[in-house]
Amino acid sequence: MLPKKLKNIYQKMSKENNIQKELSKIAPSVMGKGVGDSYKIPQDYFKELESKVLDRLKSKEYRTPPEYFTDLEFRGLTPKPNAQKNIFKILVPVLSVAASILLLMFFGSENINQSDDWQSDDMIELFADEFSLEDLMDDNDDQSEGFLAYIDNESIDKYVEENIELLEEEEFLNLIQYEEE
Amino acid sequence: MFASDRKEAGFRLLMKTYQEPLYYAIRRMVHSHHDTDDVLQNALIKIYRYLPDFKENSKLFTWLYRIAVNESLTFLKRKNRRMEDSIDKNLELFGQELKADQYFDGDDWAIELKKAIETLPNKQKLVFNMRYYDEMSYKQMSEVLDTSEGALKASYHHAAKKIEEYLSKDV
Repeated sequence: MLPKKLKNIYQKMSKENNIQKELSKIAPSVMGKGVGDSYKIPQDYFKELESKVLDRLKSKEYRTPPEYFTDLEFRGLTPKPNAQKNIFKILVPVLSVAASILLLMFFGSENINQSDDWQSDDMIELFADEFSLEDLMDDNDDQSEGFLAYIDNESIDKYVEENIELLEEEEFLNLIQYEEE
Repeated sequence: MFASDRKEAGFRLLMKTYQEPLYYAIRRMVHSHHDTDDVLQNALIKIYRYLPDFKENSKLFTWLYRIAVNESLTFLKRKNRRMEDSIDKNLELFGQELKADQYFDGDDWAIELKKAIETLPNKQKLVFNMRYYDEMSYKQMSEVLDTSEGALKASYHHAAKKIEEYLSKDV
């Protein structure tokens, strides 16, 4: 039995021989030349590398992105004592847009399919703006025409039928009555 | 800062053991010390992150080597996208850079060999480096690259042939 160290040297030599033998058949001019890399490493590089990597790991693990905490409560991760107020602030514009859509549906049903002026770009513009319910009520004629040009009578009737139970708000009931008149 | 001191100590040991062979594996692909440093740091950070997922289906070194190889290939893809000049012009520039590199002390023949290797597609370059410089067996290479031994033999054969052709043309 060969001692382990000798065995390792022997194995390495035979491996090199195999590789060189293989190379001698396919690329004899490459064989045995320049096997050493010729690459040098700056002094103490590996010592510095260790601390560089560890520093990067520590900073990456525990540093939060800038502004991370600014609107954290809006993402529902850490509710604040006045979180309800904040949620209401977010919900108001959303609800007003939803209500506006419904209003347009009912108010403008008479004008359905009467206008070809509005194009899809106008639609996008309309909904991109954060308009309030009041704004819409003041100036809803043109907008309702445009929006309702995309909806037919049948689908509105179907919507009302399906959602009649949900439309319990006084405003909505008034609207339905207005429609019937 | 780390979850535990033991984890940090373990990672330090891993770095100490494997950083040098990983450094050379990367350096042979990207060449400059500066780029190697970047790629190696990224590879070590990935290794730290994914170490808990290491399944021990392969040897640790094979797994580490694979990460280093992937990082190098990603780096080269990004770099090649930026290079718009012809291969000949780039090769000439590469030779000049190598000659001027304070961390490269090879003779003219070594530079020509590096230039010849540089003409190979990345995968062939990798296969050639693993066999020629790292003296890896086809079995080890197949574990790292997840490719059959037969395909690797063919790839190495093509690579060596192309290098031979380049060198005989040049001389």
